[in-house]
Amino acid sequence: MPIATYDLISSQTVTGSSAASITFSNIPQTYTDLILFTMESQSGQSGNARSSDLKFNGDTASNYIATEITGRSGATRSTDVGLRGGIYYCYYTYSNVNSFNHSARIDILSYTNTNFYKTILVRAGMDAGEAGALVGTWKSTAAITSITFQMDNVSNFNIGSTFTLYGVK
Amino acid sequence: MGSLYPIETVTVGSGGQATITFSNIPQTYAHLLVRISSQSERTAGTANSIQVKINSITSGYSDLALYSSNATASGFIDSGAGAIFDSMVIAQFYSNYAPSEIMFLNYTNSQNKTYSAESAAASDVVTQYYYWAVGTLSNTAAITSITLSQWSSFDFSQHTKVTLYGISNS
Repeated sequence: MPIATYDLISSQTVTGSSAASITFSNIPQTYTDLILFTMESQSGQSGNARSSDLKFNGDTASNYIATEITGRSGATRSTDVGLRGGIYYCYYTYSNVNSFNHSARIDILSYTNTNFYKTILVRAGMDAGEAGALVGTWKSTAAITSITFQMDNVSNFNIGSTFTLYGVK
Repeated sequence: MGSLYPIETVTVGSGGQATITFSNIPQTYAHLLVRISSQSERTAGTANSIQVKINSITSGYSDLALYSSNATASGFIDSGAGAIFDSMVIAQFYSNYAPSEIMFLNYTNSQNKTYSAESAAASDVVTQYYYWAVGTLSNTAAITSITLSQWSSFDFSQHTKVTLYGISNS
């Protein structure tokens, strides 16, 4: 009899007050891949760009690189993001509202393998009119034991934002 | 989507491997999903591509693709290709394993076979890529085997990992 492969590891919802970051710690090392689903409400200031990053194992050094392809108002855009201190899993130059909803699916493949760098795939969209996909690499061979979602310094995750981590066997 | 069940996992061992084949695929699921973390034995820093064939068929694959390379977004149609991902290039190089995913819908029915395919690579060493496509194989046979190889017969590197999943209807 086959065994279903998606296991819920942890789910976090922002309550009480908005949060600048969300962290999953002590991630079990028993799965093949990890998948994260986010449903976020992000605060900010209309007219300003905003971003949120993924960081692994608390590493804030410039060890992350990414490329993305996005669509907005009939136009496409592709951006290579150079080495920096996290992977943009959400970056919106054109946010024209103070608060918007954003959701993402994030795949982290072979997260326990210590032979190579870790790569993630992101598909994301926001209700103020932009959607896209991104691939990012963390230049570390360490197994991933913690994941942090970090907002920029002018925004927060609003109350009700939910982050769910699954393990895939 | 129904539940996801692992059918088989292949992990490439020391010395590399030219092809990865899933044979005798059970005909009891609704859909199939292949998840790939792969690296090429082609010269470090040089891009290469995975090629995926259904039932060893070498023609009749048509993709409509969204593609990003070197910070330029584009779309293209690839008609009558010899494999899934036939015209794409994905960087696979030292220490960086590219993630890919292919879903085959209704793989046991008697219609032409449809799939979605996604692959990407991020690097500060060579060009970065993202590729997503929907495609059709002009063949009505049920999918019983899936074979992965690389352009110009380069090997998959050690630690490349490919897992075939079945997706149930319930």
